[in-house]
Amino acid sequence: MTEAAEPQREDFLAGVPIAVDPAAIDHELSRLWKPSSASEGGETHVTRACLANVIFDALDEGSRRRMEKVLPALGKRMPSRTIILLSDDAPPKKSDAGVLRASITAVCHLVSPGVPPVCCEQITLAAPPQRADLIPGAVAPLLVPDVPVCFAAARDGGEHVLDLLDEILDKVVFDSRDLPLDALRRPLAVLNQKNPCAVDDLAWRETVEWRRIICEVFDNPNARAFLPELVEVEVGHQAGGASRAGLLAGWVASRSGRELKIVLRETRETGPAPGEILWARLSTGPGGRGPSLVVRRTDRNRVLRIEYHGERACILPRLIPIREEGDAELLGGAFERTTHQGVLRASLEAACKLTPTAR
Amino acid sequence: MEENPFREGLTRRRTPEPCTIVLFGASGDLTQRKLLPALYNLAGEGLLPPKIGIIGFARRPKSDEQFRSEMAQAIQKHARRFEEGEPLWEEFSDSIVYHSASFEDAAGYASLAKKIEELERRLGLPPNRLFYLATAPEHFATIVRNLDAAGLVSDSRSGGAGWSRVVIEKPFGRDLESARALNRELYEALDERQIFRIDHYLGKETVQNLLALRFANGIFEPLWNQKYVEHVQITVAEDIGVEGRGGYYDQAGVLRDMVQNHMLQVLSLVGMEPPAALEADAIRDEKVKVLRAVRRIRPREVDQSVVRGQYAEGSILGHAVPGYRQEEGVPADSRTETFVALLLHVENWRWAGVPFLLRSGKRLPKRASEVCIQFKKPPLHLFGDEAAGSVSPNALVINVQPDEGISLRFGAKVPGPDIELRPVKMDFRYGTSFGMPSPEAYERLLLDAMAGDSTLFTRRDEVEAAWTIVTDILEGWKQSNAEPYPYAAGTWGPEEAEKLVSGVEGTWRRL
Repeated sequence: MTEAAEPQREDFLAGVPIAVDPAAIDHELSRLWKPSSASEGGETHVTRACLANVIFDALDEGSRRRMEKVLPALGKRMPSRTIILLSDDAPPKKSDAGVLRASITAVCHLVSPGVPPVCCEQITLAAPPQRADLIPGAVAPLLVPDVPVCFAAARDGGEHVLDLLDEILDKVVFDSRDLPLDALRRPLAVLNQKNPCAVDDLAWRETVEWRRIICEVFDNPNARAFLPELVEVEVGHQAGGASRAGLLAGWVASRSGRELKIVLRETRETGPAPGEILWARLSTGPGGRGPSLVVRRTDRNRVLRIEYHGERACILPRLIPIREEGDAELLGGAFERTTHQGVLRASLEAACKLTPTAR
Repeated sequence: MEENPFREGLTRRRTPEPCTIVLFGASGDLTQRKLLPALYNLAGEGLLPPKIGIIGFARRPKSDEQFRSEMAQAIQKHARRFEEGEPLWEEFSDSIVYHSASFEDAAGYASLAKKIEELERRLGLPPNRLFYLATAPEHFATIVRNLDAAGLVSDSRSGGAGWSRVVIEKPFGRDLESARALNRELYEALDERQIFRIDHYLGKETVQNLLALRFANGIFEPLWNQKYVEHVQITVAEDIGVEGRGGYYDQAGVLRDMVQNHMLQVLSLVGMEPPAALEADAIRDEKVKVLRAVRRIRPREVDQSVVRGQYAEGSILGHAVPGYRQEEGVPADSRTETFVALLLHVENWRWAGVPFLLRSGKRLPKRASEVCIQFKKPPLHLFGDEAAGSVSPNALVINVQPDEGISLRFGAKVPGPDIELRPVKMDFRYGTSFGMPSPEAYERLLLDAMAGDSTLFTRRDEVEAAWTIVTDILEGWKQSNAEPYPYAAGTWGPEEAEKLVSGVEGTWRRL
């Protein structure tokens, strides 16, 4: 590397985007990662890590904002080659040459003092709205082999990009958390494709603690005697999106193997984020009557409390702290963990049949 | 009853049955720094049973309130999370009580039995009891005998409801004879299923990952034998000295403190055959076979296979540090070893002829533990002697601490017109690949003991097989009457340790 290029490398490692020719991205990355003789073993020595290819559909404004919020922490949670798809509002060009614009930068973090920082690379590709068809051809050569290709779908819409890329994707992650029930049709549609890739949804991941707690109650064989009597599941949620509540209720209904009445109840409390689940009640009588199992968010939303209203001594009251996961941790978990596709599909199907939230 | 319909798609988080944990040595350092914080961390992760009782047992009289307040401080200092007034702490602290009695006093155990029953009634707990002996080793047998006399360790097999288990801290004996005697004492009151001999090294993620590395991958196991491995080095290095525990340490020495337990456990995991199943006894059956296959070092041969050292004054990271004999509580003429290097041979089909080099010490240049599998050189120097000479043999290194991970060293061609080779390294680091901290070893082990899973605890035959190896060495030292070799604090031990690597390719690793 020339001496003149060294400041550019420092900018790159400091997270400053460097504009590059889309056709020369890999070449430029190799050049910028390579330590110069001056810096070798010196202060700019870094560890380059890549656990996955992560593609962000940030073509719309909402998705772009979400992506910007999550990226720095995601680089630490799961260092990956990140490819960000942005919309370029520059005036259209007559030929394909120069239609896509690209920039590259590094995301670095210190694992522990005294060891080189761990870095990964971030590639931004901006395409004019009417030329999204150029994206697959630009993305495919940039993928690092032997690690999965994960796609963070646009917050809303963006199906055409997903269709364009679906051949190369191993996993698609949606974020329906603060969206209405209808949004759950998108992951379901991908799951119902002929050769679907793996699907996850942050709304589904946020129900994990609730599902686990309910499940653990019924690990006790004596408690399972409660299940044949179950007639209703009610899930209360904060206003601002019923998808999480719908998924949890859909999961209970589909796993119980019974025709349950499902009630989603929207409420407005101070503190919880839009759409957050506040309680789940599994009842043996309609309208919450009869013996029931209640899991409720309590203590400034930090704890889930299990209560059983009935006569079965085998279900003990219990407090479970809620593991607080930031968006990056949640997204990293969705990329990294295996999601049982059959259970998710059944829960999505049950949720998609639901009527809008009762108040 | 049909299976739980909600279970599919959710990983099983092992939640043990509700139980009461009695911590003997409740005023001690281990309880405050490790055990209570580990229990609270588990509660914070939702991994404890719905109800749990905790009884601190120690000599010093104090009230439940006083004990809770001390534990709150310890948890605040050492646990991952703690907030005064949070419901988790309120519920957790409600389950903590204190019992003051002497370990020798039988009446103290009768009143302990009453206290346990009271707590079980109040919290609605079944009679499941875990007794954790975090005390000095001389109390182990006394406590178990008294527990038995008070009817506290009867197991469900003998007709009682619930279960009772006893966790025993190291050191388990001082030599083979005392370990056997302790085992005999324990067997008077307990059966093996109830005994959990703890070695916190086995709770470390990297140590557990040894099994995953070997048996969940197809590429390593075919090379894991005498045909391809030149030698194995296991190092556990500490930069600290005796840290005010000179009195205790001088009775133990590094051979008893590190080699008999941690290092021989790691050796057995490195050397074992694939177990028939991932079950406690299947794994321990294979581990004990390795220990039994270690060639015994007869007392008169000790000097050829073992080098012991003792640190003299020196400096670490720019700080002058005193020699071992100048440490508080250490006799001025102490012969206790603070460093030991061993050359062992595992005489079985897999490892015949492969030296196992073990090394551990205090006041070494840094804190580092690793296992290095060094492979044989290729049979032919295709690239010429000069090029081949510049490449170190392939080495697979498993870093146990502090920078947990695995790396593989191999030779690569230096770019250019000439054939020049250079060693390069492929690295896996837990900190880089998993953006989450590993749980503390004690969390895993406490959870396993509550769940009755003894995979990561040492069985009677393992402990005795390890002591057999170590006792021969202790006997040899006793007979030779030689002084340990001095080494300056901040160095990698006495020069005499080099003689152990004279027959292998390379030398002791510089960590």
